[in-house]
Amino acid sequence: MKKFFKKIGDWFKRHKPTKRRIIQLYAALLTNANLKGFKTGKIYTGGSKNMCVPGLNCYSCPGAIGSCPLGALQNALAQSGTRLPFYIFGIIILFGLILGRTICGFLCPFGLIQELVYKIKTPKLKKSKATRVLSYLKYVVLVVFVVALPLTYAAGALPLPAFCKYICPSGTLLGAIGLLSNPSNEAYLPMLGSLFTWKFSLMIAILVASVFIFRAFCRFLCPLGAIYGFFSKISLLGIKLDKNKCTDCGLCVAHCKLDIKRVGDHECVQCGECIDVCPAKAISWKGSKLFVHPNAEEIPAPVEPPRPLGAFLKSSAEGAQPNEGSAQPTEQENATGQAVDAVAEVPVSTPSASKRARKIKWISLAAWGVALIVLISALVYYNFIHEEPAPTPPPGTDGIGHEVGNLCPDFTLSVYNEDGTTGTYSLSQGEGKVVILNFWTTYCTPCVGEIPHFLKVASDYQDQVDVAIIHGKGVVEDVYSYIYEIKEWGGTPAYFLQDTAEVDLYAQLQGGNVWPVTVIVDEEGTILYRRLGSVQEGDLERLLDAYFQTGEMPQE
Amino acid sequence: MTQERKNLVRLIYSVFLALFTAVIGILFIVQAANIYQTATNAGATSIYTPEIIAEKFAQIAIPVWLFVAAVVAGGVLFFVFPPQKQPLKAERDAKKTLARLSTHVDVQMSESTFLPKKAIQKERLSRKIAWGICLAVCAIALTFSLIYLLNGKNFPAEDVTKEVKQMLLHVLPWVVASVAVCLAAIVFEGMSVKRETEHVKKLIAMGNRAAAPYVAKQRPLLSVLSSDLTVNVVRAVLFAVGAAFVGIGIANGGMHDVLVKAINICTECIGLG
Repeated sequence: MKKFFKKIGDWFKRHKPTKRRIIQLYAALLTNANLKGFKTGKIYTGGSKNMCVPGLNCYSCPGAIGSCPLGALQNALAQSGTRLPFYIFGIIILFGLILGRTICGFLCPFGLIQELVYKIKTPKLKKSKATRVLSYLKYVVLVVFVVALPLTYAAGALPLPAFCKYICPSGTLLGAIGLLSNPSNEAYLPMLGSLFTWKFSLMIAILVASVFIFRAFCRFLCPLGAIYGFFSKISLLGIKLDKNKCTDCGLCVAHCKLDIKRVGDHECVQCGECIDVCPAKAISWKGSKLFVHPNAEEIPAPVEPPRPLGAFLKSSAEGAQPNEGSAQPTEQENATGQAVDAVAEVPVSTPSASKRARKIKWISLAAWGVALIVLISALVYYNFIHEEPAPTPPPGTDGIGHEVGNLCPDFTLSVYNEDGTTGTYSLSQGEGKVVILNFWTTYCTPCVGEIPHFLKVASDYQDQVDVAIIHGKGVVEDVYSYIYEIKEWGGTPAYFLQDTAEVDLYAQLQGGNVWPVTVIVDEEGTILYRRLGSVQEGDLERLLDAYFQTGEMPQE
Repeated sequence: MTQERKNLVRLIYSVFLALFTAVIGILFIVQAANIYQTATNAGATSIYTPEIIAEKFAQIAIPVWLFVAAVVAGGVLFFVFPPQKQPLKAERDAKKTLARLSTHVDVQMSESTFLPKKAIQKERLSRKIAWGICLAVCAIALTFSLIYLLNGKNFPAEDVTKEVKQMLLHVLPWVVASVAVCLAAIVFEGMSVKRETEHVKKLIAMGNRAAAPYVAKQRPLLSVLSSDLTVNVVRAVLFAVGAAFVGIGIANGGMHDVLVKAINICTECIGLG
């Protein structure tokens, strides 16, 4: 029995989480500290989303407290006709410069998910020349989906974050499924169609691939890793190789599961697992002299001593007469041809060394303490202190609410007139007519795509229907210019309105932070129909025709 | 149980788990495609409803739970029969080996060493040609892809998904061609390096050794670019640029844009569509 418990104890010692794993879990928890979002099904809408988190963490995840740098970059490029994307470029430069690909190795939640999935005990696909070539695919994804497509469509004033929309598995897993798994978001289900089916299938394929291939998404598809890879040589944090000590034995490359050619190159995620493997102790952390006592312990690793290159040369030299004075290569030669010992000497402990070790231990403890305080503060703030805007109250005795059958709250909003003047539009203005309210924003692709359908309905049903196209209160560009100069949506009877923080009609009708939203109100002001997500061509006509014929609107 | 038996048990179980993983993945994808296809064929306006999702995924609930149990069992098996630690074995980089051997070869030609040296030159030339072809194909692929991507007429913004599919049809073949050519070049290079290494070994065995190992002169520009001073200057410049960009971005409203887009989700942008 004792032996059994000892075996379990040894297993736990061998498999206890490494510091890197603890940091990964910490980072995943900190970047998704809004845990109550998973319970309520609502995303965090506070000020910390001004900032980007370093790793790939979708901002539509209910727990996310910051923005995704890749999503922010695509949105900024998609809007580059209006405003140059200085902010996000600056953020990415600073992240890359300070952290480099340590973000991938230590801070990215999706990297953590892949590493955990890789632990499933199946045969694994080893790296090879083919995987090395395939690792350049992520640069293709970066150029095509992150840069080219958003820029190309920006020229047509259509915002398209192509990578987020068509590929990103983090958005599908953390964002889409994170929201859909909450019963309070059942209203999102009718939105799902071919796009969700494609993204869900792709996410499953990537997760299955990650079981067999270490960090399959990071290696072959992740454009964020591709961007940070450009900073590998100059980043302040990361691992470095001492070329004077390196014997070129290749054990670091052999041990690494990624497609590196040498330690610290653009494929390296700076995890540091090669440090213990190097027999010459040539690999260390950048800045390690400040914080870490280099090579304080001799760590025995079951490594095969590198085959001496000189053995072949020696044997051939013995066969032929060596010239006098010819150089005899030594057993181990480093990259510059200088002879070094195969294994570094064990440093002798001195009083100053132990004092330094104690100092470093206290600094390390202090750092962990500060990190713990930050995490606890974040969890307390986001889950107990921060209050989201109060949810729309249920219908009162006056019957005003946001559900089908409730009375629509009356409102007065300003209108963008085509001649440049401003006016107002009130719900009471549409009395005696059906009123279609469509909520949109300039940076929402499906919103912009569906507006022509509303304009057509506004023209075709002019006498019976008022169409009010309401821009959300989050304005990022000149909406008048977008409507009439860029998109040329003028010349129809539709009203282009601007929602405000004071009225916040979107919140009153409980749009729920997703766009677009369509609400149809009957002649007496009763809500007939609600839809989250875009309408397709012909949908509105079908609904209106059914209503005018039968007096009831189908709830499809 | 002998170590061989334990290895065999582990191998069989891991292969079984690999197949099971693939099957589970396929099941999930098939169910999602099934939901979409069924609803589309029936002309339903709502493809994913709670009832359909519950019904379809209930059909695969048992295999999923069995998979979870199999994963846990795999963990237990590997705990009971832990794999032996294999010593790390570095694979010698053939190119580096060739480079190191070549430093010991006398560059002067002589009658006896003419043939091997000619063979070595031929191998080097053939590798240059192979990489030249590879670069040319990649350059052509990049050019044609960019011509398509940067032509606004190919993206009239009428049906974005259709246009993106068309883009993939035009660009993907070039990407595949580039990958194939690069792979071919790498394989050819590997074979050529091996052949050249044999010729170099032959030369050394013939006694053709240099008086001193040849050490390539480091190119001055490269040494300047990779020096610590250059790296620190680049860091300082990038830090200043990054900080300035952030400041400009805050001033011109870029930071506010990030917030607005992060709290008002475009549904299709996260795959809800």
